[in-house]
Amino acid sequence: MRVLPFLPLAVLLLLAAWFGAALLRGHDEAPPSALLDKPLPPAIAAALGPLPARPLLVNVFADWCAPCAAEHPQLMALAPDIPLYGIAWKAPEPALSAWLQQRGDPYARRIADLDGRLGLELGITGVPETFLLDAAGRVRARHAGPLDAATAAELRRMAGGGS
Amino acid sequence: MKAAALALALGLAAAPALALDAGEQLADPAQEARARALGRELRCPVCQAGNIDDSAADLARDLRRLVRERIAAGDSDAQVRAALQARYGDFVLLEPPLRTDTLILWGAPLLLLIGAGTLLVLRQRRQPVAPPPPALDDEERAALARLDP
Repeated sequence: MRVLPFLPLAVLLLLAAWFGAALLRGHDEAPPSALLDKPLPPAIAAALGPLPARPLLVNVFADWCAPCAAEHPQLMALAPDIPLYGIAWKAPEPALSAWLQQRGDPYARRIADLDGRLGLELGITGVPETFLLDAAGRVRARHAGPLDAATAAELRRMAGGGS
Repeated sequence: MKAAALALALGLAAAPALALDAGEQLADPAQEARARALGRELRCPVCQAGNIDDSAADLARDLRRLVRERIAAGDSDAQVRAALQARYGDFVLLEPPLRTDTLILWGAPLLLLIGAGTLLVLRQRRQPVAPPPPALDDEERAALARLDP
């Protein structure tokens, strides 16, 4: 039986299976961060100030952002174990402080990014966005979108597993 | 009828709606033109399927401003692209860069075309040529003569 005539059909079925699997996976992945395995950009390091030499999270957020509110409990749960450094993206006072006062403040330190420049330096695709840094200060992971329990657990694992 | 034709012509002539507003534009028209051209080459990180000039997203506006600031500061087009690539990776360029690791991406369509073409040519060659029909014998020649004198 000649195989060649069936090749286009086979290719089509393979593509269909591949696309179907990707579609059914559900969430949209942002492309890998350009900062992976690199230290924080100088502008960010300068703005955040000295950071402890241990795994930590940099979280870009805003008070007007609904997914940020959704992930907030996860941040509160992570804060005692992994220090959180917050960058408030285009979030002016006093609304920002009021929002944190109402929900709780998980951040060891919080800086303002009123015009969005710091966000651009980090290459964010929106808010919220969370970066995991290892003890050497290199970016190990970037999660675009709100943290869910599974992602928070994964971040714990990556942070706790030593670096 | 004329009104309809005029309306159609005007509609087709209308420039695509950009998300840029007048306040964003650089004073120097040459620099603004460069900024627009670069804007068309850069992917909006939010929408991912369009460029930053067309996108109404906040981030797109920030990126447009960044592009213009760099141009005004004297950066070349290549430097502006590099600055964005440093922050957002290759994905921010709508046209993937040509490098050794992207050669497959660029070459694949051409390779597929050549591959398919080669397959077709080989199939053509391998097909046995049909033998010529045997020559007409006397009976058939007589029948032919009767039909077509």
